[in-house]
Amino acid sequence: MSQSPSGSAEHVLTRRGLLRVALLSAGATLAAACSQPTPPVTNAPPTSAPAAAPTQSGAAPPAGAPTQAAAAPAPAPTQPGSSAPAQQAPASSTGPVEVSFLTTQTNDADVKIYQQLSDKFHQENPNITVKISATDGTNYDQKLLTYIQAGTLPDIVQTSDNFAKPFKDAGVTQDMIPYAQKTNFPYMDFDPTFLNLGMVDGQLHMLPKEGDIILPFINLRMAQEAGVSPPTDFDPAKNPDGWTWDDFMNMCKRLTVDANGKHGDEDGFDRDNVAVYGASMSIDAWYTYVPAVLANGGTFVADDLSHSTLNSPEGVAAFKRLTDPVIQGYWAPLTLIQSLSNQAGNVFAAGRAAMAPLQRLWCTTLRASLTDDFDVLHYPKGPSKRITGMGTFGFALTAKSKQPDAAWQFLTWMYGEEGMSIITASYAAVPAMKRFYDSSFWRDLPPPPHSNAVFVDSFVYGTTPPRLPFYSTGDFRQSVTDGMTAITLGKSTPEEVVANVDQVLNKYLKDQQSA
Amino acid sequence: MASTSTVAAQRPASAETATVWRPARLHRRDWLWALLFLGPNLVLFLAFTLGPMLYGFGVSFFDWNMLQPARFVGIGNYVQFFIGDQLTGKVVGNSVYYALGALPASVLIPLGLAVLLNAGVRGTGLFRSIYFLPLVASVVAASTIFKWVYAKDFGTINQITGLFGIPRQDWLFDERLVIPALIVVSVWHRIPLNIILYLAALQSVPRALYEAARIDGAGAWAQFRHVTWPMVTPTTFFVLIITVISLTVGGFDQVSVMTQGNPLNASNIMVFNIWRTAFVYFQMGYASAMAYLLFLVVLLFTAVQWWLQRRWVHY
Repeated sequence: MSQSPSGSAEHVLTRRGLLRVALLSAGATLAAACSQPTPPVTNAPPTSAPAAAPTQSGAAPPAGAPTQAAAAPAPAPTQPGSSAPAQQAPASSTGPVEVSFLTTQTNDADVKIYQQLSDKFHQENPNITVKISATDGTNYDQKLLTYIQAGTLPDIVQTSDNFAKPFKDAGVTQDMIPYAQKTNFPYMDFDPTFLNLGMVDGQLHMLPKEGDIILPFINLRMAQEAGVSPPTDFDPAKNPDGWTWDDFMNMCKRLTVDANGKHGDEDGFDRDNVAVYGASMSIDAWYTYVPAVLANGGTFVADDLSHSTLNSPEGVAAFKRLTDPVIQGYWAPLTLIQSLSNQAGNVFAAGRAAMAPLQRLWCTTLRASLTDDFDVLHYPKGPSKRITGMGTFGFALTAKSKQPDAAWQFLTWMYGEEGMSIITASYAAVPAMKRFYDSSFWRDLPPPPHSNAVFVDSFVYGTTPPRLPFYSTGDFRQSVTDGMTAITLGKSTPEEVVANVDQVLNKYLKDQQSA
Repeated sequence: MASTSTVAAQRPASAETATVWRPARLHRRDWLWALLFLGPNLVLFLAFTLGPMLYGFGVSFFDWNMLQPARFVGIGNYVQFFIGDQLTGKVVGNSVYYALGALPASVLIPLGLAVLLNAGVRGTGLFRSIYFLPLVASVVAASTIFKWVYAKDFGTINQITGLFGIPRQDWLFDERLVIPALIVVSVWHRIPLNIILYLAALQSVPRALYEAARIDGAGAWAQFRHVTWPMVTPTTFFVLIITVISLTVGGFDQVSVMTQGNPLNASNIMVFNIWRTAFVYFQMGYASAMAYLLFLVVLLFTAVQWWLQRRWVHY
């Protein structure tokens, strides 16, 4: 390259000079990088003193005004118990307002429901547009943390029991009790079990969208062909000791059919060539193994979360009870579940299993993909008691919401009768508010399933996940998955696996206490 | 023979270039133009590549779960990898098995196919299109399909082998079979790009060299050995470099979709373990340390290959 006509030396850059500048820049960046990384989020500013845990009779209000008070809706109370805050105008919005709403339910049917909610709400509240967006739930927490960093956190986000505390701590969500109180939203009408999943330190960080409980779904055609009479009219209130785990396993064996047409309870059954499994179970999911331990009369963790209590004869028996049927060929093997997107329900939906413990959420998929009639049963009673997993996910107002009033207005409408009618019309949800337990808008939907009462009658024996620091216990969960896999592959015994899981869990509980 | 003449033929041009080249001096105006064209890319590179890389290096010296303040642990994360993590041996072993298992086939099969395609057989255009297909299929989609192909209960492979009375295999849930199963998919996906590279190299080999070899009485194998192979060694070197890098730092999407590291970590390779440590276990510092160790390994392999190339690559 030729020199410039001016030839002035001070304007000439040599490669060496350029390299020097580049090295200095890189060094400076490296030095900056080696400084202590700043957490991407800061904790939310301290809010009010923790209120008492909500009870049926009503929660004590927060002692002080929340820090978000400035953004709280202007007092325009409706009648107590009413859930019609849609009549209120948002305090801070005089013109058109857009509310952003993020869900992790990405399939078309779910997105369509949320869009219907948005459209209907907009019809009634022309000033407010709710923009629905859906993102895959993988690394959801990380995505929200990134949104915070970018300043693009939506006004309303989906959350769950496991995320309620981490999201509060990370400043993702905010306490919704002040909003509920100012708008007389009857949040105490939520079933307390579900409501408590969203309560963190006396603050409400999740409005439960639905009541999810794990119940055995059964393929009625397969039952009929196997000569099985599923207890669809069983009532545990009338017969507490009826419909036991042994009954359930006998039914599983009978429903299992090998490639030669032999049932699981017949001589010559070939467990290596099974055409239809009796059941498909997510044995490494908390909602399966935790209730299994409790149903055996054992406990999972000490009440004060100080240590694990899993390593007990009851714990070992529970792990054995969950893995033996897989080894014997009565339940779908883990490899088949893995082949079908790691969802035990997919095996049932594909007609490869006659039963599967699932939540109502699956009804939409099953009605679309399973050509056979199906129904739902109560969970069978274990040696000690009848218990199954229950939980929910829900929605929360974010701490960085730009339109908290309008967002809250949409939430209260969504949780009212109109919103719930739209949500439950897809068969995907059971209302989590007690006043809707008997509502015809979801109870009288055409079958299948036929026995809708089971979905709410079973709430009395459901258990929610233990309050473990699940958020940071990836390797604990992995130890359960690996342990169950090792047992079914004959690489380990239930005793060894339970001892290992217990050890990993104790490590986390100890870390949590020391933190 | 032919390689010597080719090298000799190429040398003058490069030697001439070398003698003419001088350290460039940029005038201010040129500098501005250079900045104008390079600037956007440099900004993006600094912001989204170099910056995060250096940030990750810094993070590797901390214990950090993204939610709580980071705690400085010095080289603790690096020490943990070598002496404190029971999974290290297994994960490294899996990674080496996966990379070394896929490497020869990823290089030799494309070379063989490229030679055949270059021979001008009938339907070459069709074959080229067919071999190109895996490249345009996303790894996630291909991995999903292969997951079903390998499925024990309903997979295509077991259905076909079952016709011959061969017992069904649990390809993705058997500790002995899972890595070979992944290797097959990996090779399948890498073949097209390497075929294209080899085809380009083969088509640039002067016909005169083959004619000369034939006059000298060389058969097909001798032509390949003494003409084709030396002439494509620069491409082979390039293919080796990119394949080693992609096998070492790649494979995540494949493992994530097909096995999730199962069963019992038998398919847990380094890059998947880094992801799981970071985004499932939320141990950002340890994951960053592992990522940097992986980076060093790749750098070392590449440097060794550069050093060795003088012995076998003919330019």
